[in-house]
Amino acid sequence: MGIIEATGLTRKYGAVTAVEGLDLDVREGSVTGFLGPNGAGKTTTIRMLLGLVHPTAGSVRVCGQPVIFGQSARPQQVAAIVETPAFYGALSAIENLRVLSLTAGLRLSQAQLEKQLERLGLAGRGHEPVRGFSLGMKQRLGVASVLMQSPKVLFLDEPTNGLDPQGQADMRELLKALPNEGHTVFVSSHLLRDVEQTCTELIIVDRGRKVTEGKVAELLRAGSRVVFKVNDPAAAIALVRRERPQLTVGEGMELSVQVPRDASADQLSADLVKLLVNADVQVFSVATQAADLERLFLQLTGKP
Amino acid sequence: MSLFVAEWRKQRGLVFARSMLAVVVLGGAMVIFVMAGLDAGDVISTRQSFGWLPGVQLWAGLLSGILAFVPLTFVAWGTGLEQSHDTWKMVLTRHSPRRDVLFAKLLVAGLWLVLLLASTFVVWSGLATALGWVLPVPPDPTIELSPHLYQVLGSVLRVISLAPSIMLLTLLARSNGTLVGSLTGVLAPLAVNLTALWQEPSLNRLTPVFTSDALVLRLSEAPGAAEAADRLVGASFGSLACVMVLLAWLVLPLVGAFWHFERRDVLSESE
Repeated sequence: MGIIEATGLTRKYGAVTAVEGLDLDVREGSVTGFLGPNGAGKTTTIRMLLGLVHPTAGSVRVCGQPVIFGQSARPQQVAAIVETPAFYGALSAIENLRVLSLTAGLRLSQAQLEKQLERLGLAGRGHEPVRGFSLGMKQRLGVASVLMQSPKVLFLDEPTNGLDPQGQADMRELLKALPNEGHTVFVSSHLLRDVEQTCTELIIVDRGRKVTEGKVAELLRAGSRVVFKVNDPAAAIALVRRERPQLTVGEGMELSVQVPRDASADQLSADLVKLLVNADVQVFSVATQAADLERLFLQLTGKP
Repeated sequence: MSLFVAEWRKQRGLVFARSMLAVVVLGGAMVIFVMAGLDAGDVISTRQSFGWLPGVQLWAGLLSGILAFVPLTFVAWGTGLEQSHDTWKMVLTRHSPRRDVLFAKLLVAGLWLVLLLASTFVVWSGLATALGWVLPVPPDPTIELSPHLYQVLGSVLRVISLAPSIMLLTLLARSNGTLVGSLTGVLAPLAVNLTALWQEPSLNRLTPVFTSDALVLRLSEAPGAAEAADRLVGASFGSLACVMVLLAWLVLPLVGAFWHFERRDVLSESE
C-alpha cells in the first residue's frame, strides 16, 4: 500500500478537464518526480492531494488517511510547498517560520528555527525581512518551512526554481538525503536533469492523464535503443517485425529497436544478431543508445 | 491558542495595522492640541473639554466617529492579507479546520479593537487631563459621563455585529482587504448618517445601527432614553429583541463565511 494513493482523481473546470481519472500509488521512502508539460494538471493534482482543491471525482489517501477536501493533514504527516512559496514580506525569515510553525500547532525554539535556516544555506539571514529575498532565497525558506515540521510526506513544487547552480546542486543533495531521514518526497519539476538525478520514481502526466510511471532506472532503460548497421535495412526491419512482433522497431536507414522493460540491451543485441545472421543479413555494427529523460519525456508527451 | 498567537504575531509584525493605530491615536492627540490652541475668549467651552472627566467625555466623542469604520477596516485587512500575500496555501496546508483560521482572525481583530480603545483612552484623556492642569479655564461642572460611555458601548456593539459581514464580503470578493476596508471606511459612516434619516421603526429593527443604539438607550435608563429607543425601534421592541437582532447579524454572516470558506478551492490569486 502506497503512502500516497489516488484513485480516479478528476477535476473539471466547466468544460475543461484539468485532471482525468488519475491513479497514483507512491511508495513510502521514495523520491517521486511528477512531470508534465505546462497545463498538464500537475499543480491541480498536488492541490487535490493536499485537500486545497475539491476533486470532481475520485479519492485520495495520504499516510493511510483519507484526504478530505478543506481539511489539511496533520502537520507531522504532510507538509507542502505549492507553486512559489509565499511569505509575509515585512516579517523576517525567522518570524515567518515562527508564524507558520505556530499555525501548524508546533512550538519550536529560536535555536530550532535557526538550525533549519542554516541547513538551507540561510544562516545569518534570519532577521532580514523576506521582502528583500530573491526567488532562490524564498525557495530555500520554503523548504525550511516544510522541513521544520519533520513530516512523513513532503510535496514540493519546483523546489529548484530560481536557485543558482550551486543552490540547485545543494537542493538535489538535500532531496536525495531526505528518504534516509524517513521522509517520502513527491516533487514536481520542469528540470528533467534534476529529476533524473534525484528521483527514484517517476510519474509523467499529460493533458490531465498519466502517460507512464515507474522507477526512473527502468523507464530510462526501456527508453534506450539498440541500433544495427546492416547491409539491407528494409529486409532487416521486415524480418524483426515478423519474427519478434512484441518489439518496437523504428523506420529508417538502420535497424533501430527499443529495449523492452523486462530485457537488457545486451540480451536484445545477442538475440537479434543471431536472428539477422541466420537470415543472411550482414551486420556491420551494433550500438546501444541510452535514453535520457528529456527524450523519454518528449516522446511520451507527444512532442518528439 | 497557537493559531491565535500566530495570527497576532503576523498582524502585529505587518505595517498596516500598527500604522493605522498610530494615525488614529496621534490624529486624535493633534485634534486635542488644536483645541487647546484656540483663542480662549471665543471658544471657552472648547477649553472646558480639558480635565479628567471632560477628557473621558472627549475620548468618547472622538472615538464614536472612529469606531464607525476603523475596526471594520482591521477585519477586512486581517482577512484579506492572506489573499494579498497569496499565503492561504501556506496557512491551510498547516491547519484545519479552516473555520478556526477565520475565528482566530476575528479574535485578533477584537484584540486590535481593545488596543484601539485602550490606547486612545490613555493618550487622549491623559492629554486632556494634563491640559486641564495647565490651562486656566475651569472645566464644565455639568458634565455627565454615562451617556458618552453608553455611546461608546453602542459603537462597539455595532462593530462586533458587523465584523462577520465584513469578513464574509472580503472572502467573497477575494479582496486583499484594502478594497473592502476602504469601502467600509467610506460607506459605513455614510450608511449610519443615511439610516439616521430613516424614520421607520419596523425597518430600523433590522439594522445593527439602530438596534445597538436602542439597546444601549434601554440599558442606560437615563431620563428620556426609553422614549428615544421607542422612537428608533418601536415600544414593543425590547432589549431582548435588540440582542436577538444583533446576534443574528453576528452569527448568520459568520456561518456564511465558514460555509463559503470551507467549500472554496484554494487557488493562487493569479489563477
